[in-house]
Amino acid sequence: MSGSGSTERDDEALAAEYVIGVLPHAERLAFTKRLENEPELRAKVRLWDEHMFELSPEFAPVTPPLNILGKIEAELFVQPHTSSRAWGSLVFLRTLAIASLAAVAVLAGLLTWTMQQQLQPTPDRTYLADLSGEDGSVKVLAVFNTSQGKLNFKIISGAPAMNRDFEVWFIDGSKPPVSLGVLPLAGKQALSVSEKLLSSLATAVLAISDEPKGGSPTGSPTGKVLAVGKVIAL
Amino acid sequence: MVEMANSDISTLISRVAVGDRASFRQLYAQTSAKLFGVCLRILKDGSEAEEALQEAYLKVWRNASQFAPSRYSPMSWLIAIARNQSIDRLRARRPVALDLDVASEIESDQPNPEESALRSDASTMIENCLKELTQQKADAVRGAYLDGYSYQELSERLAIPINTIRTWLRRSLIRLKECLER
Repeated sequence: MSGSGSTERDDEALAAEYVIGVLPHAERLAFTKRLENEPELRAKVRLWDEHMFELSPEFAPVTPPLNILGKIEAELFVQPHTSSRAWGSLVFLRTLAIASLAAVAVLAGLLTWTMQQQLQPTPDRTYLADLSGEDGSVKVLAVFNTSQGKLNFKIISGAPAMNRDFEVWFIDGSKPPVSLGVLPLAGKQALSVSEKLLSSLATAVLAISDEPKGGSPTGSPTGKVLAVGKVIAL
Repeated sequence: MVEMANSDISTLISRVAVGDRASFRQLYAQTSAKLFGVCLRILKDGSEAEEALQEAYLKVWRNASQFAPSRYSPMSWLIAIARNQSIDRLRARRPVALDLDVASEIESDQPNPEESALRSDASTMIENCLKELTQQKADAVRGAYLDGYSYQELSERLAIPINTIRTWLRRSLIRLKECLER
C-alpha cells in the first residue's frame, strides 16, 4: 500500500472500527496509544462518536448501586495516610532544593514543552518544579496541571536501576512526605494530584527517591533521595 | 424522567474541569443511570459494569478540561467514555465461549426496506444511512456498538470467516461515512 490516500482511508476505517468496538484487543491497545499522539486521528474518532451517538437512545438507563459515588470520590479526593518516619537528610535536602531554583531561562524553555502537553493556561499561576540531585545524574522537570489535578513529567536524565523505580513525593512544610506514585517510564508521564495537595502547591517541595519496583512498601520513602525541587509559580 | 438540558450538562462539565466537586456530584446524579446502562449492556455483568462506571467517572473528572462543547455534544462525550471503558474491559477479558443459544439478533443478508422502516422510528441520520446497508450489515454495526460484539463474535454468529467479516464491515463503515457526510 502506498500513497496517503489509502492510509487516510485505512485510518478512517480504523477509527470507525475502534468507535464501534470491534477491534481485537491488541489492535485496540495499539490504536489507543496512537490516539494519544495523533490529533487528526482523535478528530476522526470524535466524529464517529457523534455519528454513532444517535443510536444511544437504545441504551436503557439503569440506576447504579448507591455506594459507587462514594468509591469514586474516595479515589479522587482522599489521600492515603502515610506514617511519619523521620527522613534524616530532609533539612539538607530542602536547603538543596531552594538553592537549586533553576534559572528562569531554562524554565521559560519548558513552556514550549508544556504547550505540547496541552496544558490549560490556568487563570491562576503555572506551577513547576525542577528536580535535581547532588551528583546531577537525575534531572526531572515537572509541571502541574491544576485544572486536571495532574503532574506532568519530563525526565531529562537518569533512570531507575534494574528492578527499581522512581517514586515521587510531595512534601509540604514539616508534614510527612506524601507519595504521588511511581513515575511511569513509558506512555504518558503524568501522575494524579489530589485537590488537597494542590491547595498547598505554593510551599511544596517535590522529591524522587529510589524504591523497589512498584514503589515503597511502607508508604514512606525507604531509599536514597535522588532529586529534589522546590515548586515555584511562574 | 426529567431530561436534563444539554447546556446544563455542558455547564456541569466545565465546572468539573476547574475542580468543582459539587458539580461533579450533580453530573453523576444526572448521568450515571445512562452511563451505567451503557456499561451493563456491553459488559453483561453487574460487578464489571460497576467497575467500568467508576473508571468512567474518574476519567470524566480527570479529562473534563479536554471537553469542548463546540466539538462534542456532552452526552456523546460521556457515553463515549463509558463505552470505551467497557469495551476496553471486554476485550481484555479471557475469551468466553459464545452463548449461541441466545437468539441471534442478526438476520439474513437480504435488504428489507419495509422491515427496516418499522425497526427504526427515529429517522436520525445514522438510521437512514444504516438503511442503505443490507439488514445483516446494519445489524452487525448496531450489534457491535450497542452490545460490544467483537469481530470474533460477529464471525461466529454469522458463520462467516473473520477476514470476510472484517472486509465487508470496513467497507460498510466507509459507505456509512459517505452517506452521513452527504
